[in-house]
Amino acid sequence: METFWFIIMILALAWYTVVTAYVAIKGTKDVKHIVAGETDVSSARDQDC
Amino acid sequence: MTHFSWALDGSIVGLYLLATMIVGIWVRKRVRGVEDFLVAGREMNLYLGIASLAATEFGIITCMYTAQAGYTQGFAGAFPGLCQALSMWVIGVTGFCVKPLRDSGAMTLPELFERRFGKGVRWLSGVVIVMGGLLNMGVFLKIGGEFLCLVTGMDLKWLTLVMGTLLFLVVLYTILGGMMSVLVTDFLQFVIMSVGMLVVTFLILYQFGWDKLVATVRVHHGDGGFSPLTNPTMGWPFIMMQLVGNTAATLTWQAVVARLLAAKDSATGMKVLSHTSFFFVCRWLIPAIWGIAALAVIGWKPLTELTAEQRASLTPAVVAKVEASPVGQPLIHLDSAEKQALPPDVANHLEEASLHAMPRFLGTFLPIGLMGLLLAAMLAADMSTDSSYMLSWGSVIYNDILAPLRKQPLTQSRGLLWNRCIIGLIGIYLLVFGLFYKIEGNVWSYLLLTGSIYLSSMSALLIGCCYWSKANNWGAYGAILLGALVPVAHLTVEKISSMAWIAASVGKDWAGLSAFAAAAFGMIVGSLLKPPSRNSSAP
Repeated sequence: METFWFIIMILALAWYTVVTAYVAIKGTKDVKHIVAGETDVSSARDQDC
Repeated sequence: MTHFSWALDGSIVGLYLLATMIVGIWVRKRVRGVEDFLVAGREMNLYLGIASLAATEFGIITCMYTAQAGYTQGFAGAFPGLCQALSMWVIGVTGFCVKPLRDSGAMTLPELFERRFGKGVRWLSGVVIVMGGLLNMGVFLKIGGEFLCLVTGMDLKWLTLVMGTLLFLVVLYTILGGMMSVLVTDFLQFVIMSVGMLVVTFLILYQFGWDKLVATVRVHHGDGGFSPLTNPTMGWPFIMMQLVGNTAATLTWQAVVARLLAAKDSATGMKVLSHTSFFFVCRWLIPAIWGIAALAVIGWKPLTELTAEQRASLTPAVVAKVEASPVGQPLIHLDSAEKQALPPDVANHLEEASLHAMPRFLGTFLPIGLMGLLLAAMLAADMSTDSSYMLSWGSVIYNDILAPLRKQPLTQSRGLLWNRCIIGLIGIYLLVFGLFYKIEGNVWSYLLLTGSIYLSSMSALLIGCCYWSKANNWGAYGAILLGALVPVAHLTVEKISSMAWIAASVGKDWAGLSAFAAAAFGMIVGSLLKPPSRNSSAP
């Protein structure tokens, strides 16, 4: 089980580092989009469950 | 003595707070109506969704209880994170319930339930969701304030001021900008929080090394520190409850549902869930590593939580039993007479020893400068959680409890005013509840118990609504009633001293699993019992 947790820890740290950097870069575009209020997809409000 | 420097670390924290407030208040101009305020006009894209969901689901309280789990259970304490990640990934990939929910265009879960089960079920669902959510959230502020005081070395008498200031800032930008402000500040907070957490974790691993952390767990917890199956406080019921409870939380936890409903379409919502799922492993494992490091440095010394006067009031026999107790269970060797003789504040301090270990350790471990980064990271984590949760529960109060009582719909400006007032009132409730309520025992147990009051019934309603054509309002009422009955009964029996042994022998995990079984039973039997109506049509 020690090896298992070691692998999980390495995966977690690697994944978190990459995702933080990636989301920080790509997310800036999403923030600009939402602040500017650009709607590129119509709302699906009329569809039902 | 902590390493916190008011000049350098304080400036870093001040800079972060200033940036957050400027951004949070600046985007308020984009709010034009209730839909902008509650679901950000449904314009959230993938990366903003990932940042927002991750930031929302990690607050100081999360860091505290997951570090407590690492401290008291070793690496096995991070096991719920694996279950949570697995549940969220499966739901995100398959779209189970979440696809029809997002495609329905509802703003909250109860709004969807009304279409299938009627207005009464919508209203009652709203009440159950808000009750469970606010009880759950009520302890966030106090735990966050305790963390900040312990890390900076401030006296706990400043707790109220710290709590009040933090809350005021969060309420201000949430009231002004709603989900718009929450999403944009969440993005900023995610980046700061993640950088701070990663830097602290790498520093701990560099200073201690993996082998020392493993050796600490082995000494204090044995094999049970690595496997939930051999840990005496876990076992199969614990694993099953984590899988079932976390699946239900992904499907129905309002803060998660709000992110799904703010996504621009169901495909984006599903990707947000599947792409964020592994974050939940980090969310549990990283603070658990901090907790294990605290155990390596501080050890298990619950009596150090007491003042000299409080220690002098204990008998030598009690002192010996507390000192010999297993990590995280200071009162386990005391008999009932000794427990009753303990003053409540002494018992509370002893119980809180495992919760306070991690912030006490970090306060003396991190150098000046990194302390500021850690505090900014934790403030970011806490503010994003508080703002999102206030908006989530506020949206249910407005949309599902108050709005259905009105005959005429509110105008956009009136709706916005109502929403802002509700968030202000939630803020006042949080401050008052945080000041007066004292948690007994493990924080995670408290959160699971308050959450399970509605997780079981709401997940039964959602599954029935989306996938079972025979589900109806009788079944919905049955699920809500039975789902809430089991945890409330367990809690009540636990508090009655003559019957407490029954609750103890059943255990919290079996009680939680029973709540889910009872809710499913209520949904199936109630739906089948209702006589078919001639002109009934499933909406």
